[in-house]
Amino acid sequence: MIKIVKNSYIQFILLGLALLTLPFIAEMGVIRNSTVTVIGTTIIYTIAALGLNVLLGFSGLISLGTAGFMGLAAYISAYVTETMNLPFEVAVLAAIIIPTFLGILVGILSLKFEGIYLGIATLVVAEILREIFINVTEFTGGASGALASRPELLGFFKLDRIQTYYLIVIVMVIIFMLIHNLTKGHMGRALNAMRGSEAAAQAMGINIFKYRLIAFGIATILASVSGVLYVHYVGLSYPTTWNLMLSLDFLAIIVVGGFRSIFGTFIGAFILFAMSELFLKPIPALANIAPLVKGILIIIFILYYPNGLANIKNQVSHWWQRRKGKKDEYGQTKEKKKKLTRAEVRENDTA
Amino acid sequence: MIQPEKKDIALKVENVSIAFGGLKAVDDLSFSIRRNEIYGLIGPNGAGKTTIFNCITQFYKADSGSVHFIHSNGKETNLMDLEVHNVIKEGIVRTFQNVELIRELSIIDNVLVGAHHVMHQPLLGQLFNRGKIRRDEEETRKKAEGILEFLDILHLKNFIAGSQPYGVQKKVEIARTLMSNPDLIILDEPAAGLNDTETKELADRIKKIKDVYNATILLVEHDMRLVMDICDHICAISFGEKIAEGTPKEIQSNPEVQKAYLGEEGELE
Repeated sequence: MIKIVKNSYIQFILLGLALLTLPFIAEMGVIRNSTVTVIGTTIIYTIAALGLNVLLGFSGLISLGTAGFMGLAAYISAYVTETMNLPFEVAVLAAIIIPTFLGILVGILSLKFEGIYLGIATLVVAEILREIFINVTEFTGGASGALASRPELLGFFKLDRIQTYYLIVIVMVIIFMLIHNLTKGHMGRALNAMRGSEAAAQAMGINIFKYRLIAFGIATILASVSGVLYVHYVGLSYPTTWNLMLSLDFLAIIVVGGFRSIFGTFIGAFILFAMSELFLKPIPALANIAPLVKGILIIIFILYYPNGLANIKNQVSHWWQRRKGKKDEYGQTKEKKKKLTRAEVRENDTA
Repeated sequence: MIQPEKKDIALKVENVSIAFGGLKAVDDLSFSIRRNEIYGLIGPNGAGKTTIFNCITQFYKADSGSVHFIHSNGKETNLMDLEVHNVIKEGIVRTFQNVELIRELSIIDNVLVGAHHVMHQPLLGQLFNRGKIRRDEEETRKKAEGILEFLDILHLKNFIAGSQPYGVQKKVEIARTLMSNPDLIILDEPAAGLNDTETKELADRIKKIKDVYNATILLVEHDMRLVMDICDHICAISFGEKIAEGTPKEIQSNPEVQKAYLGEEGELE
């Protein structure tokens, strides 16, 4: 049984199933419907943050344009479905291919040099995109935003709010599995090697430019998927949403959740986004300190817990094994420290 | 010394020069390495030994000269035409002076990185974790375990590389080179930081690698006892120039070498 639960696929599916039950719990009146909406949005952010985690956690590169690419995908999907009246599937394809193409172009131009240029280039692109979102009103609706309806699958199956939530959860589970496959094997090793030592990676035949580009491509694809889901779930897209703050939030999610951890990314998104939406914002006195809490969390994690919350699992299992007197990390059996009674202490002292 | 015949040669370095700013790190250097021999490169600190390694493995592009690698089937490749990550595809693999491992990964994962170019895994196949990919991973893992066993560190395979003592890390680096089915292994100071027993063990190991893996070995080393013990031929350089080349015996008795190491009056141990 424990072996089954240790299988990552099963873990992802279990998480998915747990999330799928939320609308039922809301139906029963235990949690509010708005909570489900917040969780749905959190999952959407998790997807974009996971893409950034592949880039930052594995290859050590930074992108400050996650929100820009996410917004671009959101506007494209809204435009294709609402203005052009094309099917949802066409919108998804267009909204993933165009930003990814743009992302790869930015990557080709900036990754030939030092890795840090990607951060600068993506920041520039995101700012340009933001100007486009505000000013090209025929495409984006300008400051009043673009509207989008819920997805209509295969042209006849129109999803309602809860069904869209299911779709988001399913997409999340699939993406978790695919990213797990990619990062646990050949490509994950190449990315790790690159981050660990560029020289060694090159000597082992790893084409640094190629793998950096792949990592950035994955980040852009996931940001795009996330943008598409966002606009069809929330229903609208404002230019003010896609600013640098959001991109930095994704970084914060990774710092708090844990580098290179899929579950960590989810937990990080939950803490940074859902917690403040659910617990801080409803209380008027606390609503304004939400960003402050975010900042403090980041500082605490960087200083005291740089491996993020994903590391808790390892620590707990270590602690558990030590407690049980099992083999510790060096493969030696540690004896449980016996607590001395007062009489024994006195005996020791006199002896 | 007698020039070796062409078909016996594995690596031919001809008139290589490289300068950093005004400093000539390597000046018109030529030497050839025979197939399946252990070739040592010695010289005082700053003589340009690691720079030559970097010129051979294309981490640096030499200003002039050529570096040719001759495959066992007679095919000749000018390494200078290759990008740094393509050098390993010719069968040339190297270690680093300061061990370059992925510190937070396990030893076995570090070794698996060495098989990167041998594995052919298309991205889409990896994405869906196809059966072929899983079998490929399985086989490569077995091969890695075999190599770790050969180096006596199989029992450590699941430990984090960065937490291991220096001697083990050096072995992991050597294990990583063996994963790529190399023809020429380039070792940059393999004995640095090892104690006497470990150095002795290393000497045996290098000889064994040469025989078992049928590889040519080029090494830079400061430990003279190791170099004299295992090398078939040695090239001594000083300030980027070759001062002597020959068998360990010839090198030991060469007055130029003694001068470079010990100054005018003196004798090499």
